Amino acid sequence: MTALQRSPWFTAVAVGAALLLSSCGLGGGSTTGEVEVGGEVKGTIRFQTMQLSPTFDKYLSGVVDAFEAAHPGTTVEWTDIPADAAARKTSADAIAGTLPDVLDLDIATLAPLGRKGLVVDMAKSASDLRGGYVASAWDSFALGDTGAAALPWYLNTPVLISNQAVLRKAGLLGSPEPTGYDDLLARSAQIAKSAGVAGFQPTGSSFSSYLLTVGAPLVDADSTKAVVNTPEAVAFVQKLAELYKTGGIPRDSITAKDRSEIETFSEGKTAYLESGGSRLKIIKENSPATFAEVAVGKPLGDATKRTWLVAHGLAVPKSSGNLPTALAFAKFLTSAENQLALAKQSSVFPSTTSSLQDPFFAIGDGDLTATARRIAAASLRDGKTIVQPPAADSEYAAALWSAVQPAILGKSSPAEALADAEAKLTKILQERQQ
Amino acid sequence: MTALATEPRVRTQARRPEPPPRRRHRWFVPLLFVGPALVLQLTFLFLPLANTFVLAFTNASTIGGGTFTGLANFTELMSDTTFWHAVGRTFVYMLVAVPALVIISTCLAVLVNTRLRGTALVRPLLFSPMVLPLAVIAVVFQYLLDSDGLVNQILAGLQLVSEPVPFLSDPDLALFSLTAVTVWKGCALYTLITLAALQNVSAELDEAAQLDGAGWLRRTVGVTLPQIRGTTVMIAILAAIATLRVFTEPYIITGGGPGDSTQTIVVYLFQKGISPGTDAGYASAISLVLFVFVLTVSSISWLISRKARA
Repeated sequence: MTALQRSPWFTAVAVGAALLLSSCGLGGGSTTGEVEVGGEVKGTIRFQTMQLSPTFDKYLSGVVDAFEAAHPGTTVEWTDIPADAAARKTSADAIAGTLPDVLDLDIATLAPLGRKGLVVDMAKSASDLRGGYVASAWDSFALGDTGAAALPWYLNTPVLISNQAVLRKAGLLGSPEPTGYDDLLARSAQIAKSAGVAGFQPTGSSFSSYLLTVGAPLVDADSTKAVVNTPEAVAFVQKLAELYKTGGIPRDSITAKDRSEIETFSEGKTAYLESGGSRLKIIKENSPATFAEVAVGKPLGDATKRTWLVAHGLAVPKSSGNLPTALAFAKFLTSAENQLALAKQSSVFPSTTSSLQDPFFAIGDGDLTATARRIAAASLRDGKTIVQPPAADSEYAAALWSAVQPAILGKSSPAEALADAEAKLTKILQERQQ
Repeated sequence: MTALATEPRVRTQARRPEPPPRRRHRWFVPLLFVGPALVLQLTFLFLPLANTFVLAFTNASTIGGGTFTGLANFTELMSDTTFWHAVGRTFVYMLVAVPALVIISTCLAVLVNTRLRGTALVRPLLFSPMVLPLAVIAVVFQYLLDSDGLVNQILAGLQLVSEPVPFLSDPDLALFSLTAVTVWKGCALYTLITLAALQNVSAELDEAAQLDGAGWLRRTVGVTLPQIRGTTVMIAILAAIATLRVFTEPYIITGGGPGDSTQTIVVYLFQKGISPGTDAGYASAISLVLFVFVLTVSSISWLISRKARA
């Protein structure tokens, strides 16, 4: 009788414990070893994009239909998720073992999956395609021991947008464009003095790109130690601190949100904005008066071949139940012709070098959007972009920006702040090795 | 005779009806009523809570994997200066916000409870922060407190300052600016609670004091407020718990900056374990320590209130 009374409790405890342990996520639910990607291309796969619907519904449906027609017996189920939910959904899916078969992700979101070896290493499974992609784009997906965590899909790289009205007020209209950050900082001081307007607004997410462009390598060769406390970086932060005092950068830029720099520029509060050409559309819609005064030029890393790059890639989780079809679809979608078709109806750039040779990227004088496209495509085509070390991801960027803020405000010295940043960042990098 | 003899029997039968058949309660019927709520609570509250306890002893990441590491997370936490700075900042936040919330909401409730012209208009205005999401309030205050925001424009217009006050970009000032946002938002709810308590205050005592010649202030301080002491203590406890867990204001308005000057415990937890960091095990350990802090503060407040009542 006692045994009979206890049994429901034992069952409840056992079920509870099982649920608890399975919910812990300690198992991971995904394969981490080597996987076989060969086999027949057939069956159903799930494909997930990041905020491409509804703008690109027609394009993506067309590509899916074309793939299914080229590979009879296959079905691609496409879903689209908001960009701000991507990180959380990816984590939840990874724990539950329900990651889609093909994932469109940016490097920051993909980084944890790549470092843990949860996605197919394209450097092994699609090594023959490497030569067809922009080198910096391919290299940007090297995450931990995974040579290439995704096939590069669409890219973006900046141009320098300037407000001619502010430059006119500062007496700089017609002067040569700044060719690097040294130039930009010197000019910002001059603009603040002459026109009472800031030169540009530094941002947290781009700060590691600034340091990379001025010559700080960010991490050492094996990504186990941060390297930001260099003379170039100290000089850069020192100049930013001086600009903060004199109004060369906006007063609220230290705590401003990312993307607020576009708003600041649109309001005529800054003279320069280094950003993707797609921002021109936002400026035109929000502030036609400023747009009428806008000009675009080469990015600040052009002369030193250190222009930053943003890449989205198509990853195939090892947990996929249909790896051959998933890989075939990722290759199909990132093929040169499909990427060119996407680029022609958007403001992004293809990651395939042959697509960048298309005349579409060579035309464009007079029209600002076309000019921006020509300049940015040239950066990609001519090898002027630099791959940021994958270890310098969003966590790295946030910690770095937080550490240098007191120095920019004049509350600590740049050398102290960068030494502090280096120690904190090295700790983060070393924890990842464990 | 026969009729007379049988009538009482009939009455007796009418007075004593057949007892209704005994209703049999199945053991699972109550479970059907509480079941849905219980399942929801179990899935979305107790299971994650238990999960946090387990994860705190692992090196799990947000994408899964990880092994049990014993007390390693807690050992690291003890020597994590960033964490202890966040703890210090959170307690400063609490020590500033809680008295402000209690005093201001009590004063407002007393004023609103007083029969004055215009209180009908003041009430809805006073409670309007309650209907606004905190994220919206945070964004509004970000615009208000910017260097060219409304507050600085007013201060400059009144010629009180020559330079904009860096409410959000000065590391020494930012935390207190955020505290003001918390106080503004929290006052509405706590005023409402205090007002409800004031409605139950004995009018006889107030009248007696008035007959004795006590003025409004004397009656309020000496008669009314002691009667709502229990509510005031409860508000203090609620406010203390809320401020220990403060997240939205620093996260949205300053992102924890400048530097780490507004990084509270929950902001640090979020940055380490959810975004951009992925160290779920360490973040769980932080949340357990926070749980202990909340429990301690609540217990101390409860003991103080019990002593006061005694």
